[in-house]
Amino acid sequence: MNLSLAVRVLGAWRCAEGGELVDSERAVRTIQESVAAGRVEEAGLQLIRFLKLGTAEGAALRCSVLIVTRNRCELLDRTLSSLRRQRRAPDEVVVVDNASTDTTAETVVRHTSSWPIVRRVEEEWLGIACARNRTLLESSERSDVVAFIDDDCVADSEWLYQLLLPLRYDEEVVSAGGYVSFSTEDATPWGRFYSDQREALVP
Amino acid sequence: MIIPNQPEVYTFCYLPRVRHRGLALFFPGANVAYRRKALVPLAYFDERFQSGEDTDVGVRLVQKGELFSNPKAKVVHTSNLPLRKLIEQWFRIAVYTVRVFYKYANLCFEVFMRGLVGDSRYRQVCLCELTIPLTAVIFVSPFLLLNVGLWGVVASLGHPLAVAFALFTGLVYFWSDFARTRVSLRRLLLYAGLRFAINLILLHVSFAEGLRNRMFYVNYELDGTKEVR
Repeated sequence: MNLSLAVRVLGAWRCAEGGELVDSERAVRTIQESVAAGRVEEAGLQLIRFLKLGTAEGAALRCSVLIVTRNRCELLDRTLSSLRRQRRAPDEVVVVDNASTDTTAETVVRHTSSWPIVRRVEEEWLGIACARNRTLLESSERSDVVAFIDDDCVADSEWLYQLLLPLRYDEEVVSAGGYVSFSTEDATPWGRFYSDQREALVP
Repeated sequence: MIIPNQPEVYTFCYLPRVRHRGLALFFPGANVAYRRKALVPLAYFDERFQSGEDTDVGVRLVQKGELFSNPKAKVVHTSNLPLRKLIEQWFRIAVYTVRVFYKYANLCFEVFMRGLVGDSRYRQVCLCELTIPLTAVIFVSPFLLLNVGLWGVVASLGHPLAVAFALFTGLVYFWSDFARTRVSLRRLLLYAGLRFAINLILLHVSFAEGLRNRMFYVNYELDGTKEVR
């Protein structure tokens, strides 16, 4: 049984390709655990998945980025700016404005004028869940993937590219998630306390 | 039932399928992508939730296919929330996590163990599941054990065994604070005290919310919460 070798070689190869590295240690451990527990079929499936993930070239996906916002125009401005710097640009950005009373509308319009894929939609009914549903309804039917980001977050330039990777390579993946860290620059003492608690959990 | 935090997000991997029917995995709504054809048949997000709607979707979605985490998809969250907003947020999470549990609980008694130290700290394992005519969800966490220890000390008027138990669980609970050597002692004590106080308040808030839903719910840890919004 040389599953682990296969996975390691694959990991090293992908690493040499200079891109999307499979965490081969983790893959080996998962597969070995399954073998040790006598779930050979499952181990085989896991191996196939990891192989697919590393090699197969998935189809191009259309992606909508969806944002829900309320009265946070400065933060939203930073979010939208970070979306413009993406390695993999979104095909559409929908901003649902949940009854903002500040200059959110102007902020979005300013972005739209130079980047027409950004759209703003008004939703009077308050609540994060129904605002998220509204973003889904407003986003293009033709998009294969919807990505959510919060209005108080700034995306790394690799964000969307990395988030779409697993969805591109494996049809069975229905959802992909990433890592949320906390900024320390403009943190209030309380914000820092909370983010410290969270960061302390990172292994 | 749900695993309310998502530890596996720190590695590039498929999230393990959880064998216990009550446990599910989810990604925070601040940084997540869904395949549209999987999400739309789930009837979207549940509009009764003011928070925890991503958890709720995760519970249903995990039945449909694989979940994959990629820590390289990075998002930086602002930490400049004023205290009032932060407290509102904690309370919202404390209340709505209970409601998500209630939505998927059907008259049973479930006890979950939250790992105490090291890597297993993040793992939550179902210890016991019984069908009884009252919904009860109990998370055995370091915080809960510490409280049991403290009550034991009071009830036994300082029995040495109870004191030893309280000291041990206290050490486990506060370990993550002690382990952070880069902060000063004053700040460390402040943080530890603050964390304990907030946990204590939120434990009672979520317990009360549980009772309101005719459900016995004991769980809260600030550092085990889901993503902030």
